[in-house]
Amino acid sequence: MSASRDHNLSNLQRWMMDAITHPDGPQSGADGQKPHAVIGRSKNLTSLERINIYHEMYYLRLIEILEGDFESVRHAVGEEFFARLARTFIIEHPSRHYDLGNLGAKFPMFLRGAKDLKHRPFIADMAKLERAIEEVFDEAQVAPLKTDELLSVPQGRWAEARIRTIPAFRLIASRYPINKYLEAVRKKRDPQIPAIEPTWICIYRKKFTVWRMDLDHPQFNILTALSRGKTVGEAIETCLELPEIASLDLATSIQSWFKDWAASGFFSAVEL
Amino acid sequence: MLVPNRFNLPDLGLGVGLRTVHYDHILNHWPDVDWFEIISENYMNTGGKPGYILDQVAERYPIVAHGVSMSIGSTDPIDFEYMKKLKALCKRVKAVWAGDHLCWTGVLGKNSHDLLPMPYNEESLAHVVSRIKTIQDYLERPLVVENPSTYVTFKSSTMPEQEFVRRMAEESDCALLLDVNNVYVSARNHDLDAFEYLKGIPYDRVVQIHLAGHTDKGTHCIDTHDGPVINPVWKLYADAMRRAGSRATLLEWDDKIPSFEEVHTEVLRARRFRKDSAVPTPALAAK
Repeated sequence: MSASRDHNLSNLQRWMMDAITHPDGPQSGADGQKPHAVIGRSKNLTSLERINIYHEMYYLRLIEILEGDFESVRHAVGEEFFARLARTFIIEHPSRHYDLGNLGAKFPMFLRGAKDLKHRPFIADMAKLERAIEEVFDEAQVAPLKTDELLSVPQGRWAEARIRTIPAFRLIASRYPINKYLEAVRKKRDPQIPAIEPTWICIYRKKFTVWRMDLDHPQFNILTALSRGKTVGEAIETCLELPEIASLDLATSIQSWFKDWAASGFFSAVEL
Repeated sequence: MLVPNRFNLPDLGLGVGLRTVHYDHILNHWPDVDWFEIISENYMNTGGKPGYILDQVAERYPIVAHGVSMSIGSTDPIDFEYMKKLKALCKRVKAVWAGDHLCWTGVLGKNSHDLLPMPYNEESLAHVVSRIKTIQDYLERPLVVENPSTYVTFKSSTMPEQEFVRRMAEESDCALLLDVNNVYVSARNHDLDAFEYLKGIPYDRVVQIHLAGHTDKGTHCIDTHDGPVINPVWKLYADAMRRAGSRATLLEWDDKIPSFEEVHTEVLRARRFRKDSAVPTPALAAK
């Protein structure tokens, strides 16, 4: 664009968007066009200083949103490094949706590939957990299946039943105790980067409150299979090879788990 | 309620923005506030608690939907997925009216999440008028358009903002939300006379007034909504009320938000300017 000669609206908006989002500042905007050619000065501020107000607010606003959404990641990497990460993320993944709640959707994936990030697998899993909490908070509300409705499935047809999970439900497996870490950050206990400790978590919403529940490995496998549309029989098969099963009375455990899960509102429907 | 504007939209009284930090107070006390304004986008994509709270509030108070992402002035196509959700939200909460800002928020699909300024010239005016007409047809109601706070002026502008706002409103037949804090902020930033600005507004189209605090940086002002209304802004409000007659008035407080009582007390300060200002607009007098 040659903004000084051609001020048509479309070109002007492209120029301004590039100027305020440019990583190196508005003076580096599109086509090297200088702000004074497009923007008037005021009594106190030059053209560059004036457009720089928008530039600074752009990054501050979006970084602040990510800081709020990824509090534990921020704690783990430190405030200054988080701001640098967030800024790089915004440059590489600018917002393309009107809902600011979507801004951090790709942040876990970004962290998983971020260079120079210490403890990367842990940090990326923390981000995944915090993102899941955001998603569960806003998911569609669906009436949960009552325990009685679940237990009404005839005894002989359990294996073929498909039990649907509610939309506000996410499952995460990690090699690190990410749920404990998040809890410690929220309680301002200043946790350190933890050692490896495999964990399985579900995040769900009940009565408009988001909850996190630690699971056993077999529980995680069963719920994962159910949430992917598998039958109860197929879901149980996914944990038969796990060593954790050896010490369980599986039939009793499974019955108890399903009752607890139904009481927690994990399920929305049962299909035969 | 008085109906002093050409759209027959009511004077809702003195309202407060519905904000998350006040949810518990509102649900526990059902305060004696005249109405609530919501930021539309905060409720358009959630099936969770915000919507649940809003439904309860909407059963008890008039609701106005005030958006920040319609991007009225953008040269990108109108986002009809957004419009569809906004229309559904307005229906759900029986919004008394719906509005957004005279601005654009992004282009080429990229969103700044800021209220970016328009150049005030004939090309922009034709563009904005056309978009508002389309939006009003879709929403099946007048759009209430707010004057923005701005930090730059464009060399391609050919008319003052108030003239642009007046012509935009008349040519698109939209309603106006006059933000007197924005008038103050922009006037300070552009070395203009805020009272001159107010003289140019077509008050028969003004259905709502915004009050807010801002941050004075010395060399310029930023529209931060993080404090009480300063006296010069109250003077602009008084002037607008003298010209307009009584209008639905709302205090915006979006950062460093104090208790609900404090926010409500601040907006109730507007009473002293309202009781003497129930003057019919010329448009109403002519009916």
